[in-house]
Amino acid sequence: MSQANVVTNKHHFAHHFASASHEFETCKLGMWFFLAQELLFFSGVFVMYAVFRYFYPEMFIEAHHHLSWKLGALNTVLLITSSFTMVMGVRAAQLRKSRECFWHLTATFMFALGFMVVKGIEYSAKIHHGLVPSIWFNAPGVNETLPIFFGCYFFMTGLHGIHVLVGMGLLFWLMIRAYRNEFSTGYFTPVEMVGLYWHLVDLIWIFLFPLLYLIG
Amino acid sequence: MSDTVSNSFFESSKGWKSWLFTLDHKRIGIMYLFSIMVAFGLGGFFALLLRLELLSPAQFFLTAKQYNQVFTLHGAVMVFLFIIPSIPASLGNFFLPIQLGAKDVAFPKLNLLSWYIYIFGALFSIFSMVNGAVDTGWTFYTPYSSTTDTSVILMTLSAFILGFSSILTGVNFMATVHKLRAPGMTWFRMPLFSWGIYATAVIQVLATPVLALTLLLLVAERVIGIGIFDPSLGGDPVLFQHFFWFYSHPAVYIMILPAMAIMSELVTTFCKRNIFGYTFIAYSSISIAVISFLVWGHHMFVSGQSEFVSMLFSLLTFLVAIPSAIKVFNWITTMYQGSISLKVPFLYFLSFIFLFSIGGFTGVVLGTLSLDVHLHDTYFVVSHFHYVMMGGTVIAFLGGLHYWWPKMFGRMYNEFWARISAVLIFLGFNITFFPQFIMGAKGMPRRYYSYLLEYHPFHVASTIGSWFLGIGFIIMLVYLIHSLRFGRRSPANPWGGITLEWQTTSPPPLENFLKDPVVDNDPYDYEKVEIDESGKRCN
Amino acid sequence: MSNNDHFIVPVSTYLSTFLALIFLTVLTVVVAQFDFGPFNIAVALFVACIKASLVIGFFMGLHWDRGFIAAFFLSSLLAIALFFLFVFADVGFRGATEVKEKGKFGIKSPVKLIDDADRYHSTH
Repeated sequence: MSQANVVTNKHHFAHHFASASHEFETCKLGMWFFLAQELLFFSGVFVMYAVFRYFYPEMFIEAHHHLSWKLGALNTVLLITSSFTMVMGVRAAQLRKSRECFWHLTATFMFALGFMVVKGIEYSAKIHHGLVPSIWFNAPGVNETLPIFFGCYFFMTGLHGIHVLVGMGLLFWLMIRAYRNEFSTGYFTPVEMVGLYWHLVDLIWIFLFPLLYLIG
Repeated sequence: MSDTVSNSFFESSKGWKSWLFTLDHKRIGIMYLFSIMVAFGLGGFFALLLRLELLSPAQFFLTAKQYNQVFTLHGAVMVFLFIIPSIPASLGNFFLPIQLGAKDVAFPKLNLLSWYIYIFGALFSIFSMVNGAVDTGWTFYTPYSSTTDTSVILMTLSAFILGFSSILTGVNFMATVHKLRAPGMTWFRMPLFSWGIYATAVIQVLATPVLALTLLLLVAERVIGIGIFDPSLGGDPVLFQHFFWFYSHPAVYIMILPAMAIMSELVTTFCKRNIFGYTFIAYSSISIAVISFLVWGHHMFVSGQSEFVSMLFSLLTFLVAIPSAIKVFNWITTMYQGSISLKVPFLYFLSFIFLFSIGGFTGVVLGTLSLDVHLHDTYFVVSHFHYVMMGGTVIAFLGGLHYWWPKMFGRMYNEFWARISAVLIFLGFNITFFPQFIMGAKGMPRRYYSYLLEYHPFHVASTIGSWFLGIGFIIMLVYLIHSLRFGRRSPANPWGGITLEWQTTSPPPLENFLKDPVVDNDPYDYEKVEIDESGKRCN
Repeated sequence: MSNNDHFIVPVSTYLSTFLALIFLTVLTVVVAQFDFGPFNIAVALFVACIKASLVIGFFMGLHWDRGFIAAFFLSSLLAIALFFLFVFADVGFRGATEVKEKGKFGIKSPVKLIDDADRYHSTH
């Protein structure tokens, strides 16, 4: 790793904090508050899903046959693994193992990329079959409310996908900083914060998977 | 006195870049103050416009559609651009850290980002206003909002952007209260303003994301037609209302909690007495925040939701009035045997007690199922929420502004004109809105462009009252701006308050205090804390 | 200045959490093959909740943090639960009182109930 950017254990924490530890704990608290709001944000789509599953149970059962549970399961495994590599990356940063941290972050990024690729495959298959929201819906189906399911599906997974993309951007930023040796025992706050965000993204998918792909 | 000038945060750096790239919560608070006052002016302009149109039932200068657009913009600007940020972003930003004895908020860069997001959202909304302004009402109910040809998408996206500003401010303030209190300042030694800002921040963090999602769903409904709100596709338009009010009801508590927080400050300082029932007021702020999430259906009693849930919501609505009432009783009791000083901020306190009480009572009236069937969507509702939002929040905001103006800018405003303005606003407000209770109960519907002749006198009175209000605010604008340049320089503690902000200079130095404060007393303990004639603590 | 209060979690903890999550994912798929009738959703969500607890507790560190963060997180879950509860109190009970109204439940006023839409339109 670059010698010019070797970081000592002295992190210059912001002036309004009493110590680097104080800054870290405050950032962690703030990040959890932000995650709570992300949770509330996604809660709305789950309520929407629940209401329409309550209204149209058979339609939901019919609809899920159009989804590939294998791809969904693969995506679940990809995200869980990425969560694991992420937390290993945080640990490596804590232990001043910059190279290890860099590779864990890269692995996380690659798993995320894999997730998006699989998502892309799924989406293009749906579009090809005309299983898309409302006005463009063009597929045979017993239930006339089928477009609602696909509206929900695209909206929920699309919103989640945007969060994955944002996470990938953040991971890329971290990868650059890890490569430059910027993290140490005294300062690994950004890695921890992005880690927390990333786990939330994983969490949302843990619920999306059974609800969308494994109905009935 | 000369070090009050040279030490101030205004002097620490100069030039427009020092403002636009500042990380100082005080400067950010002032930038917010300026922004929300412009927003208030814009929203007020729309209000005057619509009240002018309503002077007669015949068409005056607005078509029916334009009238719909004007009241929608009045609502949207006032709610999203003015009142939600108002007290927290301006006075909260400036004073929360100082009251806690901190040097800044927890995340100063996030604070600046919040302001930029606010400005971006505001510009976005102005862009939407001139590109087919929405006519749906600020509540954007489906199915009209999913089918009308006005720029619903642009306006909802701007509200989405503004929501982020609110969320980030909430995160920042919560972290600040948890982590940046000065040594000795336990939770129960915090001023009640800080408690109020904290409770508000909790609601901002938990409720606003649901609005963000609701608006995105509305956009999705318009763009890709997912059909969740469209009955012809199997959707349910009432679902939109559930989603919308899940945020918007707690939102009204985002509006009133900081206002109540200011009241506790005013009553203690201008009665020179310890607050009665500090713990009750502190806990009532938290319980209002909690219960506020349980009552949203009272906006939907006649929407077609089940009668069972209507009854539930009605009961819970009665409950939420209790902590508010506790606060009002405690403030009034604080005045008892106090040494009352009728300065301008205290005039606003007294106005608030009167106006907010009326607003609160009428809220309970509306929360009663049987009465609401008759009163829903009438002017009674309009009057109720103006009494709480304007008679409550705006009055409290003005009270706080006049209280803290000398601290923020180091200048005193002209007391005589400030009194005139306060009286004009109080009178103007009542003349505008009291008749609306009466005509609402008599059946005058809200959001109506025209009306039966029997309501005409009420509308005339209401419009005339709006002119009093307008004049009162214009006078205020003039004397406040005048004070910035020509006002008498203010001492550190013009009112004899004992919370921490009065122990530093007016305006404060860059890092808020010349010496890091250590706290050893309750915030309003006038018996223990002694201050000399210059307002400095001497024990 | 190091974060002395932040101890280093052993790799074994993370690894076992990861393996448990993979196992539970397999379980999720397996369990979905069986029909539990109305409890299908409950079972699927139950497994998902266990997975979520593992992620939150061990990957996100809540197991060691506890305190206010846990309380706040639980409050947001509570808010979400209330959101569900009240929306379903509406959606699940729609039309419940219509049965009573059709029986003209104790109405004594002189108001004439219009229950024939055509008759209404023909006279107005």
